[in-house]
Amino acid sequence: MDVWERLGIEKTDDERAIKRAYAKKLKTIRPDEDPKHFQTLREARDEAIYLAKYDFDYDYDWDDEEEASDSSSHNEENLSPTVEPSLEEQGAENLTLERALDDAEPRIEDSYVLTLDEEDVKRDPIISQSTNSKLTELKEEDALSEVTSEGAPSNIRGTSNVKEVGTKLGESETPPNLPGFYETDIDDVTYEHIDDEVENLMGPWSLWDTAEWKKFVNRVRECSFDISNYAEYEILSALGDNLTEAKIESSFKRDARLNILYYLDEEYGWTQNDRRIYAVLPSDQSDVLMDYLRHGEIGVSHGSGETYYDAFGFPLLTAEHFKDYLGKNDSVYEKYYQKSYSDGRELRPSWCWPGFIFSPLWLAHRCNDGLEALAGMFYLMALIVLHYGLTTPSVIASILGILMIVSIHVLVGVYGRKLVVTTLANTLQDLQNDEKLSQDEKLKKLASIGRGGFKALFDFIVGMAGIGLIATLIYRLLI
Amino acid sequence: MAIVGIDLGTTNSLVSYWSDDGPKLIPNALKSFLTPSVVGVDDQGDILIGEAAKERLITHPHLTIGDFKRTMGSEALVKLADGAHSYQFRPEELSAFVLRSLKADAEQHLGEDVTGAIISVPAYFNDIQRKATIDAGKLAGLKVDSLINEPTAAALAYGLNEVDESQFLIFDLGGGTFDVSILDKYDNVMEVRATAGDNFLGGNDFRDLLLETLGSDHKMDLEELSASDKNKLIRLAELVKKDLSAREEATYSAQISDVKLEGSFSRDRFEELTSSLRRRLRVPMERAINDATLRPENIDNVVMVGGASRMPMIRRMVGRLFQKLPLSHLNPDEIVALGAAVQTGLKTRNAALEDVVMTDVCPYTLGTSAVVDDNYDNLVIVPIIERNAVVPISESQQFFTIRDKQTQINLDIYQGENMRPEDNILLGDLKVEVPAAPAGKEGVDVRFTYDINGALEVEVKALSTEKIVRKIFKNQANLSDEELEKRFKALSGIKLHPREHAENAVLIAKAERIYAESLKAQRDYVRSLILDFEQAITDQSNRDLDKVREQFSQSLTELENSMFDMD
Repeated sequence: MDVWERLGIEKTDDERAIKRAYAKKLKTIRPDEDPKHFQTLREARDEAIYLAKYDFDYDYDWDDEEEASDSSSHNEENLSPTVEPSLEEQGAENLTLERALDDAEPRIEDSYVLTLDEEDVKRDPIISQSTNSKLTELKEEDALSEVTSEGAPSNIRGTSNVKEVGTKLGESETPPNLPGFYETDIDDVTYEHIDDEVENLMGPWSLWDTAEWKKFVNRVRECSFDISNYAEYEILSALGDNLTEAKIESSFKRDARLNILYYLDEEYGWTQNDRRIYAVLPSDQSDVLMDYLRHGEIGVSHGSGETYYDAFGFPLLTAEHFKDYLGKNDSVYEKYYQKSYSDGRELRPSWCWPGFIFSPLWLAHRCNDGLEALAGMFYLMALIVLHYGLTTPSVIASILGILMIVSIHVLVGVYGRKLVVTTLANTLQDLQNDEKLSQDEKLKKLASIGRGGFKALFDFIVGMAGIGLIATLIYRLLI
Repeated sequence: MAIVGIDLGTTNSLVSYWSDDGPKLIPNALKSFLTPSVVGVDDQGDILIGEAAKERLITHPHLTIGDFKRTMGSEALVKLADGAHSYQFRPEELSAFVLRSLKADAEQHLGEDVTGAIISVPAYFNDIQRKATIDAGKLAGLKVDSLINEPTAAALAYGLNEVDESQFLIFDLGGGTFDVSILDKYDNVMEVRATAGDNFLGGNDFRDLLLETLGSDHKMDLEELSASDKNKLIRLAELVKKDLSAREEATYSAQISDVKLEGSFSRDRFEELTSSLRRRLRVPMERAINDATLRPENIDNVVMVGGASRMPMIRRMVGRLFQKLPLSHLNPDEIVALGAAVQTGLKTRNAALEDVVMTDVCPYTLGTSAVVDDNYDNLVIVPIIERNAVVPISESQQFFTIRDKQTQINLDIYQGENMRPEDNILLGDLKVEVPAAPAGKEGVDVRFTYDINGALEVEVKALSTEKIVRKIFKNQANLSDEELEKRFKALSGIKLHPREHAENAVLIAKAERIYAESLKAQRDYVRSLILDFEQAITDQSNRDLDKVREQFSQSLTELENSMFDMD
C-alpha cells in the first residue's frame, strides 16, 4: 500500500485534500485506542503532504535522492558505523521511499530554520516593510481595546458560544488596516546593516564592547522574527570563526567576553537547545562555543576531567588518569598534554634541563617501564667510548665520541618533552583499546608505570651492574 | 461519580466540570473560582489551603508555602514548622492538599462523589514532573484520567475546535511559567503542531523586577527586610503592576515598617525595565514556529492565556510580532480550567463533542547516547523520538557493538535538545546481553514508545538472540508505589481545616495580617475587631453570625484600602 492508498485518495498535490482524507480516516482510527494504525496513518499523511508540497515526481529515482541527501545531512553521515539504522528491518515494498523520506525530511526542515538563505530573506516583501513607528502606539492600543470589548460579551464561556467566537475569529483574520500596526522593524535595521554591524562588533576579541553588543542585540530582538533569526545566524557564524582562534589572556577581559556570550545565550536560548548550534556550526566550533557557555572555558566537557562512560558502559580513560600516570607533581606535562589533547594542536619543542643532563635515564624513565636498564647500558657504552677515546692516541675519535654524546643530550633536551608526551599518549591509547585488560587492571597498570623514584634508580643500577658484568667478562675472555 | 477538570496553577488553581451546556467553573467555599495554590499550617496544626493560607504567608512565613509547582518533580522537602507543630512535605503532597480542597469544593457543588480528574500541566513539563502531578492526584484520592497540556486546554476553551480551519498560537504567560503552542484545526481534527516554553519565566518575574526597582527607589535593602515587610512590598509591587495595565502611570503610597513609600511609576519605565524579559518570551515562540515548519504569517490567530498576558505591553509585542490582534476576550485566568472541562467532555465521549479528534506532541527529544566515528570522546545523543513528534508514536533504531567480544550493551536514555549526553536529562538505563562476537557484528534494536499520556517505554531487542529487555521510565525523583501508599495514609491522617469554616479562617488570617502590618492605634482597633469576631463564632447561640461576618469583612476591607493608597 502506498501513502495514497492508505489515505484512501488519488495522488494529488492539494494539501487540503490530503488533510481532509486524513481527518476522515481519523474518525475510525483513534490515537488513544489504536496507536499503531494511527501512526501509520499519520506517517502516510506527512509523506503525502511532503510530496504535494515539494512537487516530487512519484516515479522519481529515490536512490539518487538518497545519496544526495546522505552527503548533505551531517548527522546521518557521522553516525556510521557504530550507529547504523538497518535497512533490512523495514517493510520491503516501500523501503526505498520511506528511507528517502526519512533522510530528506529533516534536511528540508533544517534548511528552513538554520541555513536561512540570505538572498531569499532579503527578497521577502514582509520583512522589508518598514514604516514610521512614532504615531502607532496609541492607535494600536485603541484597536486592541476595541476588539476586546466588542468581541467579549462577559458571559462568553467556551464552546457554548462557539458561533460568536467563530465569527469573531473569521473577522480577525483580516485585521483592521491600522497605519503602523504592521510596523515590525526598526528604522535602520536592514539585512546589510546587520552584516556590517556584526562584523564591527565581532572584531578582535580584546575589543569586544559589552554596551555595544547589548545595544545591537536589544534592537534586533525587537524586530520581526526574520530579522532576529538572521541576526542570530550571522552572530553564530561569526562567533564560530572567532572563538576557535581566540586565546584566553587576562581574567578581566575573559569575564567581560564571557558575559557577552552569556547574554547572547539568554537572548537566544542556545544552551537550551544546542542541536541548533551544531547544525549551524561545524561540531568543533560548536563544542568550543558550548564549552564557553556551560563551563566558562574550553576543553572542559569532553575528554578531560571526570570519568565518562561510553555507550557500552566502559569508563573512558581521561586526562585525569593521564595525570596519575605522570605523577602528581608533574603539572608541566599535564598542561602540555591538555593542550595537545583538547585543542588538537601540535606540541612545540621546548628546553628541558633534566632531559639534557640525564638524557637516557630521563627518557627511559618517562617513556616506559623497565627501560632504565637500557639507559644504564647507554651510559656504560658512553664510558667505554670515552675511555678508548682518551686512552688511544686518536684525538679525532675522542672528539667525535664526545660530540655524539653531547648532541644526543641536546636533542633530548629540546625534543624530550614532545617525545615523552607523544609516547605517553600512545601508551594511553593502547591501554584504552586493550580488550584483554579489565578497567581496574588498566588503571593499576597506568599507576604503576612512569612513576620514577627508587624503582627507576634501582632498575638503572641493576642495568649498569649487569651490563658492566657482561662487558668485564667479555673483556677478560678477549684479553 | 463525576470527573472534573483541574487547572493546578503556580499561583492559583481552579476546578471545573462539563455540564450539558458546556464547561462550568466550580466556586470554592469563598464563592471564588480562584483558589490560591498556597498551603499552610494553622495554630491548631490543621492544614489551611487557599486564600486563608495566602493571607498567612505574611504573618506566618514559616508555616506557609506557595509557588510549589515550580519544584514539582524534584525531591525538595518543604518544612513547615513552629514550636508546636512540625511537618515536612514533598511538592506532590502540597499539590495534593490543593487538589483535595478543590475536590471537596466540586463534591459540594455537584452533590456527588468526584473520583476522576483531568489535570492541566504546562506543555513544557517533563516526564518526571508529569508523573509527580499524577502522584499528587493519587495522594488526594483522585484517579487522574489523563493530563492535558495547558495550551491545548486553552484552545478548547476558546472553542477553536469548532472553527472550520485555522492555525493558531497559544501564548500562555502565567505566574511562573510560559508556554507556547501551535495548533492546527481542520475538519474534525485538532492537532498540536509544536510546543515550547520556559519553565522559569512568568508574571512573577515582571513583578519581582518592579519590586527590586521600588526597593532601590526608596533605598530599602530587600535582603534585610523582615518577611512580613517584604511580603507587603511584594503586594505593593503587584498592585502597581496591575494598575499599570489599566493606566499610564500608577501613583502609590504605603507604610512599610517606619518608612513611608510614596511615589509614582510610569508605564514607559516599567516597559523599559522589563524589556529583557519580553525578549526572553521570543525564544520559545521562535522555536515553536520553526518546529511547526511555519512562518509567522501562517498563524491565523494568537490566543492570550494567563494573568500576565493582560499587560498591554505583552499584547502589543505579540501583535507586532505576528501582525495580528491577539484574542484575549475570555478571562485569561479561567481559560485553562474551562478547557480541562471540555476535555473531560471529550474523554467521556459526551455526544456534543464526539467528532473532535485531538492529537498531541511530545514536547522534547528522546534518545540514547552512542559513540560515533569510533572515537570514544565523541559520545553524542542519537535522537529516536524527535521533539514535537505527534504522539502516540513508536520509533526504533539499531545500534551495534563497538568492541570485539563485547557481551553487554548499555543504553542510557536521555531527554533533551543538546548534542552531548551530559547536557541532557538522564531518564535511566537498560542493559542487554549479546553473544561475544567481533565488533559491529552484534546489535540491538531499540524501540521507543511514547504514549498519549506522556509515558515512555523503551524496548531493547538483541538482534541475534531475540532477547527482549523492556522498561517503563520512572525516575527516582518520583515516589514508588509503596511509598505513595504510605504517604497517602499519612496524609489522610492530617486534618484539613474544616471547609465550612473556610470563610471565617480567611477573615481572621486577613485580620491578623493587617494587625501585623499596621501601627499602634490601628492595631488596637484591629485587635478588638478580631476578639469580637472570635467571640461571635464561639457563641453558638448567635444567629446573626452572617451579619457579623459581613460587618467584620467590611471593616477589614476599609482598613486595607487605607493602607495602600493607589490612584
